[in-house]
Amino acid sequence: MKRTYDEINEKVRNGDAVVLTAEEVISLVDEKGVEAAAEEVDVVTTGTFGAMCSSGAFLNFGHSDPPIKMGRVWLNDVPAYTGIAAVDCYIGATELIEGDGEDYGGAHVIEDLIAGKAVKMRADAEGTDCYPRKEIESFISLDSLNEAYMFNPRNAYQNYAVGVNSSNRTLFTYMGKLLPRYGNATYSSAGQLSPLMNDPHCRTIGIGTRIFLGGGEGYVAWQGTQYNTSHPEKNGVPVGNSRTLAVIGDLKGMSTDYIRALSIHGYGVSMAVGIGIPIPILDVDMMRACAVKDEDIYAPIIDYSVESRRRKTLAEVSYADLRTGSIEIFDRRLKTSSLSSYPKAREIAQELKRWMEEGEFEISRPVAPLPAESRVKPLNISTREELE
Amino acid sequence: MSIHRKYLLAFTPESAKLPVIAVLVQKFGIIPNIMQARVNEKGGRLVLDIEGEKDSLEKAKAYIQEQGIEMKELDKHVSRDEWRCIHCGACVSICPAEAFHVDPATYEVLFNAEKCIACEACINACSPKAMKLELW
Ligand code: SF4
Ligand code: SF4
Repeated sequence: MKRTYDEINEKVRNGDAVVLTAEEVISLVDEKGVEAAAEEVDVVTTGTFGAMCSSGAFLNFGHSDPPIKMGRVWLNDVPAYTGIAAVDCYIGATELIEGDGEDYGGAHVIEDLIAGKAVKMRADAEGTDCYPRKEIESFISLDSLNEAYMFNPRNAYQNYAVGVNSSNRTLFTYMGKLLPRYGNATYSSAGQLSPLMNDPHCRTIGIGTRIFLGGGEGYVAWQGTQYNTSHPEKNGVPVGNSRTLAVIGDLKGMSTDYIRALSIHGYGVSMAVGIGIPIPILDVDMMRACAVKDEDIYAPIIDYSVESRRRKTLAEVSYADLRTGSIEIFDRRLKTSSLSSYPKAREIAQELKRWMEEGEFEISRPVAPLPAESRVKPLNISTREELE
Repeated sequence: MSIHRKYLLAFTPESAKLPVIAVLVQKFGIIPNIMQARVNEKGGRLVLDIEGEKDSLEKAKAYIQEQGIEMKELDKHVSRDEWRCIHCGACVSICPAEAFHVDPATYEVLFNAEKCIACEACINACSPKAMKLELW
C-alpha cells in the first residue's frame, strides 16, 4: 500500500479524505489490523497543548511621524528585543515585567494581543539624522500592527521527563510544584496524541510542513533548538526529551483558546502553545507509527532536587501508568499530575481533523527533511584558546 | 501579647509522621488546641487553634511550612476561573483534600469546592492562574 501527498490532497479538496485522530486510530488498528487501517485512513491528526518556554513573536509597529529607530521597547512594561530594524521587535514569552512580579510577562502580552486588547508600547532611542525621534508612547493592538507572527525556536518536544523531588522541601520548578520526599510526580506530554510521538523519526514532518499553531495555520520552520536523536528508543519511540520543532505562524489567525500565558511559581512566565500536525498515511509503516499508544511510550523519572545537569534516571514509566493518577517507585505510591492538557490536545486533533474533512486544510510535503542525526552539546566553560 | 489564630494543616503521608504538635509546644512555646483531626499514615488534615506571641507564631508557621505541610489560615476560600483552567492536572497531585479529580472519559479536571479546605496549595501550583483565593 502506497499513498502520495498529492493523492491525499486531491481527496481533501473533494471532501472525501478519511481523517482520524491519533487516539481514534488506535482502536481501529486494534480492531482491523495495521494493514487494513492503512488502506482505510488517509491522514492521522495529532495535538499537544503545554508549556513551551522557547516561544515569542516578531512585531512591526509601523513608522511614527517623526520616525524613531527604537533602542529599547517595552510592551505593558515587559522589555522586548529591538536590536533589529527600526520598528521591528521580538517579544519573548518568558521575559518578565520590569519591577517585581512573575505574574506578567511576554506570554501575557502575546495573549493580550491575541485577545484583541490594547497594549501600551513605550520606546526610546538615541536619535539619528534619519530617525530623529527619541521617545514614543502609544497603545497598539493586533490590528494596528503591520506584521505580527509567532516564531518559536523550540516547541512540541518529543517526549519529556517525569519530575519528582527526594529532598525535604517543596520545589518550584518548570516541572511544576514538586512535593518533598517523593510527594508527587509531574509529567508533560500528550503521549499517544503528541505530534512527534506519531512520526518518531520525522519521515513526514520537515521544514515547510503546514501545521495547526495556536488556533491558526502555521509551518515548521526548522528543527527546534536542542534537537536530539541520541536517546535510546522503546517500541520505536525515544525515552526522554528528543526532537523538537521551530514553528512559525501568523498571530492574527490565533485564538486565546490555544495560546495561554502561564505563571509558573518560583520559575517565571511561560506560554502554553497548542500545536497539531497532520500525519499522512503514506504506507503501512506510517500507520504502524501512528498506532502508538500510551502503554508503549516511556518517560524517564528524574529527581529535580539534584542540582546538576547530570541527573540520573531513577526509573522509566509509561504514559498509560502516569495517566492512571499514580505511579509506584521505591515501594511508594506517588500521585501524578499532568502539566500539559490532554483535553486540549484532543480538541486540537479534532479541530485539525474537522478542517481537513471540510477541505480547508491541505497537507504539505516537507521542503527539506529535519536532521537524521543530532546531538545536544553541553555548555562547558571555555577559554578563547580552547575554541579557536 | 499573645494572640489566637486558627489554621488548617494538610499532611502528606510523609509529613504525617513528623511530631509537629510537640515541636510547636517545646520549640516555639505555642499553645495548640486541636479542633479537628483526621490524620493517619496516608496523610490528612488537622484544624488547629494556636495561641502564642505574634513572632513565635510566625516562626512556628515558617517551621511547619518548611516541613512540606500545607498550612492555611481559616478565613478564606478558593474558587476556579473556569475559562482560565486548561485542564492540565497540575493541581491534582498536590491537593491534600482530593478536591480535584480527572474524569476518566474526558480527562477534564473536575473541582469539588465542597471538599476544599482552603489550604491554598493549588494557588501557586496552577500556572494558568485559574485558582483564586477569596475572602469570605
Ligand atoms: S492546575 Fe489550574 S489549570 Fe490545571 S487543571 Fe488545575 S485548576 Fe485547571
Ligand atoms: S485550596 Fe486547593 S489544594 Fe487546598 S484543598 Fe482547596 S482545592 Fe485542594
